[in-house]
Amino acid sequence: MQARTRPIPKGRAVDPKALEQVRALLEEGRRRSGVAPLARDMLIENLHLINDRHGHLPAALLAALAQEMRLPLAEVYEVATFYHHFEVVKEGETPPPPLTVRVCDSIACELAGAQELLKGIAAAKGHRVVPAPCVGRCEVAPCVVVGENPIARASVSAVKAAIAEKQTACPQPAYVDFAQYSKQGGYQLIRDCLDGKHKREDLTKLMEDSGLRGLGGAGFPAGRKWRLVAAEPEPRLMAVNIDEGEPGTFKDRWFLERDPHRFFEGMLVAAWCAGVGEIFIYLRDEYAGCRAVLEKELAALKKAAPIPLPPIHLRRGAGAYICGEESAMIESIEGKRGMPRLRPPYVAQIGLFGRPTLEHNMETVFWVREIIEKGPQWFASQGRNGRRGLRSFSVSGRVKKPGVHIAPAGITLLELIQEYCGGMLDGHELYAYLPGGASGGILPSSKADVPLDFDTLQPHGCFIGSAAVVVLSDKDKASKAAVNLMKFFHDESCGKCTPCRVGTAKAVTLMQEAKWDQPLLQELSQAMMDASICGLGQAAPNPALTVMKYFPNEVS
Amino acid sequence: MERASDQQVAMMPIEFKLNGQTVVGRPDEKIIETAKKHGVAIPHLCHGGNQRSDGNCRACVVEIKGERWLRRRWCSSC
Repeated sequence: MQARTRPIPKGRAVDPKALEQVRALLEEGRRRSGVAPLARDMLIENLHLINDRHGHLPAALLAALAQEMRLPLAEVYEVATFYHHFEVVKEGETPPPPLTVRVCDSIACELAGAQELLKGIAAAKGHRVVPAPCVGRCEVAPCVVVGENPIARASVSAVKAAIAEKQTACPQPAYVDFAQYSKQGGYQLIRDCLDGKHKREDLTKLMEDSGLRGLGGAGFPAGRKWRLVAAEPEPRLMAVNIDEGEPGTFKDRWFLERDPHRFFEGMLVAAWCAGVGEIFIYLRDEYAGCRAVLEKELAALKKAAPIPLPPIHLRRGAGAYICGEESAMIESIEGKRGMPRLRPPYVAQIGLFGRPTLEHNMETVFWVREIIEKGPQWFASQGRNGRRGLRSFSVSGRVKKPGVHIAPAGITLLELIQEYCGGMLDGHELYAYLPGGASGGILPSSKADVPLDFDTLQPHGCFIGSAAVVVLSDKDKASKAAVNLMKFFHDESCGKCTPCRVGTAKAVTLMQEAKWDQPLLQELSQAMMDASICGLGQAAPNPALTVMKYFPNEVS
Repeated sequence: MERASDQQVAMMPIEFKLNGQTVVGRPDEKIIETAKKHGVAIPHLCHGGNQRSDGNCRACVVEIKGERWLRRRWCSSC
């Protein structure tokens, strides 16, 4: 019997013209990156190729891309619609204007007047204006990004001028390039490693002695991580996390804009110690300036390789806070939606592409060269109030000198403001502060003498995380800040697990009341902390809980 | 006496405490299944039959005493 055939094929038919366009774009991407574009994990990179060219993702091109990559269209669609920086435009829909103006409305920019900017910069024919989560430039708040051009201390007139003059590219920072870094003794350490002047075991021990901990937020001891991964079967991979999305945090960008090769060398030493064969660097899409630097300097490094290099891939995020979570980042590098995985298994055992993976925050490996050169004791001897090491505080808010301040671990907020930040802004008095970005909770000024480090803030219901300190003054309200943070978590929740997806939405509603239903909010917070899969949902209630604990008069 | 092989060890029953009562489960069994055998019903949506356990609704999460603080709460059906 003859099989019944459909008169037209199922699903969207691929337009031959769209297919031709996609093929040309992929070819262009292949020439630029030298990587075969049809592997499954290249999906996000390929979506970027289309998005960069068109300013959005036309449905016809998605169908063509799906066919070309031999993926179901649904899979391409789910990835394309997961990330903030992609916009799918279906047949018959009007594409967005070519230029997007993103007004950061996360905590530091909100304090500096993001809402007035949002109202003041009107959308027009050639551009649209959208609120955006933290763009990692809190020291120059409020920040507005025109295309890829970040406008520091933005005013309505400055932004309008940039739009009118089509200044949409990110300016290049001045940094230590390959030649300069090599001249200053750069890459000697990794050469010595390969020449047998160092032993893996010695360096791993040295890192353990220095007390260096993961600086992405969780604070896992770096040396122990190398040891754990090295004990797993080969091939082992490394993934470097530069998806710095925690509101208030901008240290990774600050380091990259100054000394990118110090990061590369630390990364290579860590990879060598853990016996890693291939490295993936994941950079958030907001950091267009850093991307240009990394692309250029990685090419320079590969061209004049001081040692035989393992394959190093630079991957680009697409606007998703959740991809800063280690397993979500791995999913994103694999070209999928950034949704955290259930653990166990841990990424050190089964991580990227199912292989044991050494995952580090960028700053953690940035310190490696200096610690090895100056010795573990040098690093461990820094610190105050019984704490060890140095921390890079990203300070923003109501202080005279916001910015990255490298200070001893265990410093108190009062000392940090006095010694590093030039004091509070004139006319502002310290009222409250966020010790660890959006998820670290909010402390009152009476707790400004608590040492800031891993483990010291837990008794107060807070944590230091990525050391993003946002200072609030008597002109601000802690409860208003908490609402801003909870809205951020609601927007950025990936939607995988129920406690976080539903909990953040319910919490926003409860917190927008003039008087909070505190017993209900407590119960909701407990459920989110107990049952969420990853740190986002587990930490999201922190601002609300600390406001109820320390600022009860604001919400009752 | 001969030592048990790794394979044999992997198949050995596991004794643990469930709500204060000592129970014995098999290594290839989920916590939710062992609990059911001992008359403790853990609420769940995705587990059972040919369903894949996704661990997303989090209704079946249980607390494990003595486990590291980071993973004190586990999905009992995964």
